[in-house]
Parts: sequence; C-alpha cells; structure tokens
Amino acid sequence: MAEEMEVPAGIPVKGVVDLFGQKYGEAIAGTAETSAAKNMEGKYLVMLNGRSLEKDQQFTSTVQDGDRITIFFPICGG
Amino acid sequence: MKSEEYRNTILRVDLARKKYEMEEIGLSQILKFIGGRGLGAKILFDEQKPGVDPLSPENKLIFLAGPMIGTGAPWAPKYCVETKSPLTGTILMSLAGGFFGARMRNTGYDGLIIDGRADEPVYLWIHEGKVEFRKAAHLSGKMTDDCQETIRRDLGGDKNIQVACIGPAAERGVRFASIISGCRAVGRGGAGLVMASKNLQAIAVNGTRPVPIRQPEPFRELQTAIRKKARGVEKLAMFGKYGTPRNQLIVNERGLFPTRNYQAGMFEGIQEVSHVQQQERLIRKTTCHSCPVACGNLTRARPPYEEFETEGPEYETFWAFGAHCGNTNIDAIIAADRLCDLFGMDTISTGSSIGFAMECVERGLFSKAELGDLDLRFGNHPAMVEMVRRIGNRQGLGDLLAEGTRRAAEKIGGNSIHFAMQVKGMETPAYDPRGAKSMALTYATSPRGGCHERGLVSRETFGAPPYIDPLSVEGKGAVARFCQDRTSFIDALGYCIFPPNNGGMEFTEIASLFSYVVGVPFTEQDLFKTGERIWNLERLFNFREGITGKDDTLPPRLLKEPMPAGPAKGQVVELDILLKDYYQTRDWDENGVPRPEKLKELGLEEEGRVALFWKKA
Repeated sequence: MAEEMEVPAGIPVKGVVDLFGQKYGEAIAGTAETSAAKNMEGKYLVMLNGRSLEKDQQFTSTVQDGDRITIFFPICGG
Repeated sequence: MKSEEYRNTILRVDLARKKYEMEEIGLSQILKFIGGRGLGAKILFDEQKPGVDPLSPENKLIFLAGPMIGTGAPWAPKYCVETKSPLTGTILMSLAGGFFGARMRNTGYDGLIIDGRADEPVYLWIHEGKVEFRKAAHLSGKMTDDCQETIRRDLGGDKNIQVACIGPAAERGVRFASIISGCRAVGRGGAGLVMASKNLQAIAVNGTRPVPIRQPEPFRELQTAIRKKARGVEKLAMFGKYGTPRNQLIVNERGLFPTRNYQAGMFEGIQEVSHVQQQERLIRKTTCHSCPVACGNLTRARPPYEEFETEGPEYETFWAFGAHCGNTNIDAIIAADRLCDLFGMDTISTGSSIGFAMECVERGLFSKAELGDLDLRFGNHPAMVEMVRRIGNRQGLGDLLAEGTRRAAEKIGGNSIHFAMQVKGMETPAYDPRGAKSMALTYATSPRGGCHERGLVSRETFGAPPYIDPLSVEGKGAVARFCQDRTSFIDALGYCIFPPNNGGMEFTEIASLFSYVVGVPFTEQDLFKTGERIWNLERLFNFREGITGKDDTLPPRLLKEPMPAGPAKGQVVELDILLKDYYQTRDWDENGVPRPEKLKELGLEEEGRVALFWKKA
C-alpha cells in the first residue's frame, strides 16, 4: 500500500524504482530495467503522478517533492 | 432444418393464457447472431413493435444462454436477459454469471421468450423439458434470498434448483430493479421491473440434459488445453486472488475514479476502502459455473453492520457506495451491496442516485421536509445505507431516487440535470471519461445508456498494454469500436469478459471452440464481424424507438467542467471530435446513422430499411 519515502535530492525516477526493488524484491527491481528497455508489456505498469512512464527519458526525470511513483501489476476487470 | 444441424431450442411462454410452446432457431441464425445477446437483439427487433411501453404486457422479456454455456468450456456462465428498459426506453441487455444459465440449458431449453402478463403472481418451474405455472402470491414482498429458498422448499428442496427472481424493489416499481439468482444480478436497466410488470415473480430451473456440442472430441481437447495453459497465467492468478476490487487503486491513481458524484477524479480515502480491507473480511472465495478463476469474494461486514454478509462487493459497487458517496467505511459498502441484492436493485444506479442526492443536499436543493430525518451528506454512511432501504421501499426521498437520476433531476430542477450523471437515462459507472477518452465514446454510444461493460477500454482505465495515452483524442474511435465489437461477441457466446482480457484465451481459440460447438468453421474475423453486426442491430432498435445520434452525449459536467486535479487535471471530454472520428470508423454518417453499404455488408439491410424509414403513426 502507499508509503512515503525520503529519497536523496536529485535522484531520478529510475533510482527511486531501484530503491523499491531493493526493498520489495527482484521482481520489482527488474521493472526499471525492463521498463527502460520497453520490455515491460504484460508485466508492470510504472506511473509518475498517475501518468505512465512510457518513454525512456521519463525514467531520468528528477523526482520532485511530493511526487508519487506507483508500480502496478495491471489486471483487467471492473 | 437438417436433423444433425446445430440449433437452439427456445421456450415461448404466454403468461396471460398460461401456455407455452417450443420452437427451434436454426443454424443460419446462430451463425449470424451466435446466441445470447445477439440472438436476443434479433428476436426483440423482429417481434416487438416500436413504441411499446416497457411496463406493458407487450414488452417481451427474453432469457438466453449463449452456446458456450454449460458445455464445460471455461469462463462461460453469463446468461443474458433482453427487453426494453423502463429506465431508459432503449434496448436492454443485461448479463449475470452464477449457475442459472447452465442449469437453464440443462432443462433442454436454451432460452425463454416471455410474453404477456399473468392475471395473478406466478413463477415458472421448468424441469427436464416440462413447464409449470405455479402460484406465487406467497412470495410477494420477500427478499430475494428468502424468495429463492422458499421456492426450493416448495419444489422439494433440491439444492441443484436454480432460481432467478425479483425482490421488493421490483414489486414497488424501482426503475433499476434487477433480477437476482444466487447473489448474481441481472443488474442494470430495470429488467426486474419488467418481470414484476408481468406478475412473474421468479423462474426456477433444474435439469440434467446435456448441452449439445457437434464436435465433442476436438472441443474437449482444446478446452482442456486452455484450462491447462491458464494455470500458468500470472494475470489470471492475480485476478482470481483479489477479483475486480483491486483495480480501484489503479484507476484512482490514474485520476479517473469518480469521486463525490464526479466532482473529482481521485478519492483521498481510497486506502481505507480497497481490496485490502475486503481481504481482511473474507469468508471464502466464490465462483461461477465452469470457472476455475474464482474471483468472487464472500465477505462479512464488521460492526455496526455485522449482520451483513455479501458475495462481493465488486469494483463498481465499491465505487458506488465508496468514492461516489464520499464514504470511507467498507463495512457500510458491504451492507449496501447486500441490501441491493436482497431488495433486487442495481448497485451502480442505486449508489449513483444516492451520490447525486448528496450533491443536491450540498447545493441546498432539497427542503427539510423532503430530506426528512436523514442527514444525507457525502461521507455519512449510516444515512447512505438507510437510503438504500428507502429506495428499495420507495419511501420518502427514496421514492424520487427510485426513478433514476434523470427523472429525479427533471423534478428537482435547479440545474441538477447538469450533475445527474447519466446517459440516455442510465447512470454512468466508475470511470471518469475526462481521464479516459475512449470510455467517453463507450458511455455515449452504448445501446443501453451509460454503461462501461459494452466496451471497457482496459488500456485506458487500467493501463493494460499496449500503451495508450488516455487523455488523447486521436484514434480513439477505432479503440472504442474494437472493444465494443469484441464485447458483443463475448456476450453473445456466454463468456465472462475477464479471463479473455487477462490472457486466458486467444480470439482464435474462442472461434475454434465455437466452431466445434456448432460444427461449422468460424474464424476470429467472423467473430468480430458478428460483434459489429450485433452492435449495429442494437443501434437500429434504438433508432426505431426514437433514440438516435442526438442521444450520443454525456452529462454536462463531463463536457464543461474541467477535472479539478490529478493526472487528468484540466480535462473535459471533447465529444464532438471523438464522435466524428468514431462515426467514421463505424461507417456511420455524421448523424450516427449506419450507412446503407455498412448495413448491406453486415446483412442488416432489411432491419435498416425497417428501422431507418419507420415513422411513428
């Protein structure tokens, strides 16, 4: 569920996702790499403030105070 | 008809004369419309005169089970009910899972066409090909669980008997009254009220007749392979574990989770009313006929609602009584869900109507006398739960809300129609189209009104791959059309949409299974063509009822009020642009009328001639 995390100043989004990986395990750790390689179809959805990180360069965007980074395993139905 | 050809056997019931007869629907019709939703639309179009009052004896009530139901194919439990809606005046097709559809087919009948009105309350008892009209006065006023149990006891107590019944809401005239079987609802649009208008309290079915499959060996082989493959599909496993409620978090994060009657797109209380809390209250998992996924959750509420246990709530119900009403008490959501099942009411329309009323209260549009003793403000869950009861009983303000938000707004006035969140009279569900532009098209053009199920665009709502920008309007016509046509044939076959959307089956596999059932080759392209045909036929039905392109619209809030915050901040729905693109994709003219060439291509020329040139006397 949601948690707040303090991160180093100037860290890019990819760095935050890597931190998630260190805390929550390999599957999440791999997400940044696969996302960066655009290989994440069917696996995880990574969002920055509710918008998909569909382009590589957004992973290099610097995190701002109050940003929300969420990683979902999307399923369809509702 | 050749004796070895696949066919459907339909029971035609005349309630007024308490007579019935059997008829067969041949292979050519089945190949053209498949069954279920498709066949239902065709029957209703051909047999029902335009302009029929939905609550008159002339409004047909059709129950149909698509060709995959009861065959052993996985994920095929969804029977449909087809009629003219008393909420919207449109064609109405509503689905329900559970076990009723398969059991109906086991009686030897693939569908029921119910005409007329009985002169006293009755229920139908259909078993092993026989049909009885049984007195039902003793069932009047019973909640749906009690009604089902009473009927089973009346009929000897066999637990295999499946019952589809109405509840007090239908008897009292709630416009969105549903038909309940087990805890599954033919929810939307008021099919329950149509059933009540016929003095038909319930239909009970039981039987052991096998469901026909023309090529059983390859069918069994393929469906076994599909089941085996599905065990390794991670998405299906995740879906089975949590069910639909898990998706609240993702939709909320994407900024399109309608909050407090669509005043916002993100609910600050979402972490308190999510699948996590539901799992803490889980009694056991539940499933539908022949489904190995078992996505249902039987949950028990905690105090002060500890008397309530429900199969659910599902995503839409979580939303309708959660974010939509500003409520962060999950136990109240469980209570509201259960009350809707007991009374026999659509949870989406019920919750939506209450949220609408809450905004009316906020704006001072109700007098103290109208509100009575209820402090119906956003977040007040005891008032919300009590209002569910009052809608079911048509008491106080509930009597007004039981008419649906469109009619309620017309009476209330004060610009309330601006925020009556409905399309064609049906309340819109749990996705804000300001944050998902293809969904705007699905809401605006769904044949039964504001509905997500007719073409849910998972790529926009849940971020399913391949990537699509939910806020862009470009190319959304084709996206909406694809989802709509796909859902049309899935519905007609009797499948649940969730497993195919989560990697459970490929379209080619679906086509092959259908081919083996009917004994005639059928391709993926044939499936999509049939889906398109069904969609266009439903549109022609509506045209004949005077519901046309001018009704392809959205509530003013979505067109004029920018989303205030979140990922969709500043967005409105650019419906003119979207519709133009969509109509072109559909090969409809600028008014949304299917072009003659399209109708010819779909084999709907005669239906087009009848619908588009029909004039009211």
